[in-house]
Amino acid sequence: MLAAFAINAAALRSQQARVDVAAHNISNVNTTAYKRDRLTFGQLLYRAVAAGGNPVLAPAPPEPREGAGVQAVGLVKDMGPAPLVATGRPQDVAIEGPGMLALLGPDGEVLYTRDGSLRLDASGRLVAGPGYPVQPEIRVSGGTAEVVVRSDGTVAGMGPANRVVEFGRLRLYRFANPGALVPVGQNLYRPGPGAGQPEEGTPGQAGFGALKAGSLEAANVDLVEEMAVLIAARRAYQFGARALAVADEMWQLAHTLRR
Amino acid sequence: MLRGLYAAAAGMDLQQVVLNVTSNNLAHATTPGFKQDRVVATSFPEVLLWHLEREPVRALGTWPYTAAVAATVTDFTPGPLQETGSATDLALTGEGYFTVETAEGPRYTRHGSFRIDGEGYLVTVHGDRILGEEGPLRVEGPDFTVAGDGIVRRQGATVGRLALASFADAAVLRKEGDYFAAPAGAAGPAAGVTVLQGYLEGANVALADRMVDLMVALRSYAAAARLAQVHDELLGRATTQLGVVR
Repeated sequence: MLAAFAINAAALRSQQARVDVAAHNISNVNTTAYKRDRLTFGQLLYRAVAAGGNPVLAPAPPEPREGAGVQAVGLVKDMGPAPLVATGRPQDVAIEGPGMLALLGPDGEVLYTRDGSLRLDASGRLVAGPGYPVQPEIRVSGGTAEVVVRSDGTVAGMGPANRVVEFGRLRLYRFANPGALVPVGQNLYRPGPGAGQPEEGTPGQAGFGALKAGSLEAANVDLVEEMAVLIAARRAYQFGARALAVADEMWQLAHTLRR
Repeated sequence: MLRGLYAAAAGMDLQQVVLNVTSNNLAHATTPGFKQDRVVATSFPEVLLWHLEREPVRALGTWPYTAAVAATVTDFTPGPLQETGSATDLALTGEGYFTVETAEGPRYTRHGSFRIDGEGYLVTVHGDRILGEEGPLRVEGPDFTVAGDGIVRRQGATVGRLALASFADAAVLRKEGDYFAAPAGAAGPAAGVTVLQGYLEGANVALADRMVDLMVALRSYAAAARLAQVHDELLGRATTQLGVVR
């Protein structure tokens, strides 16, 4: 009987986790370059029915076995592309490929992002995300007007005497398995153990993606799909709750056996 | 009389097993590649009752001791295909299984929600490598394609071909969570199986049927419980009323 309680409790927990993931995806539907999370379920181990002290006909193989329930077996990021949204701001860049920008985090750690809303900090460094400088560093000299980012990653502006000055070129990084990057919030990712080593390339290089200035990448959340997930999770939760109620009713019968 | 009491208790135990298995089926309503299980109940082998009090000893007849679990059977019918659009999600149509490399030897699965490990190999949700015909498949990144015949290509180059297995008799398969174990030599090459990339096979749980299983389990349990109570009442009368002189 306790097995039934555990199995159904696991079912409720798993579906709850799925609702949490869907809620997180939905709440980030307007977050620049947000990548949706996906949760997968797997089975817990099987055990012999006889091990629970249940009546089993003398062993004729295969022995009867029962499953122990469900578990959430992994949360992965779907690093699939998302539609681009035009912003008209020339320092906004969307990456039309799997490449990512490298940023220098506050602890000296290199973090990766696809959020290309670039701007200059007080000292003229090109920064992105929460204000972390782009790696390798690009510094725009003071007094430069009309800073733009070209599709090949070159950062240029109108210097003194109306001369076009180039300040450097953005690099892109890609991972063999971007799904294993660890999200650390604020659209930033840390290379996880399964992601592989970052590979450096330039915008426009095959396999990295060109930059599209004046655009940002939207979230790859599909609201209809998330709603479908929510509905399925709610129903599955109800099935688990109903089975739990049956287990409870059986236990009630068992303990009122002797009146 | 006491035998009847134990028979009722065993009936209750049996329905508990039905509840466990049904709960597990319902819990996996959204687990990819899950195959539902069923409990097969049987009566214990009939025992011969002997009349021992008076000579000559003679047989009175047979009596089934009680109900018990004879087997748990897996229903291998395919589940519905669901499109996910993810390159690492693979589904199979027809009777076949992906072959997985584990420390305990090859295992077979239809849970096609794969991912790529740190060394670029295609792995299951539990981190075990998917086998191709010539060893594990190193796809490196999610930009690979899988053709219907199981040939995996990346950037135009062939990575390998999925080792798909099939079994003449699915009853030899033994469930180990999301994997099936099979006796050595039981696996044969799969024929007529198509691989679909960007799809997952859903669970084959028939929800309405399983809810009926729940109701049947509950009512059978209640009936067995009532039977135990009736036996208890009879025993009570036997001990307090038999032989009372009024």
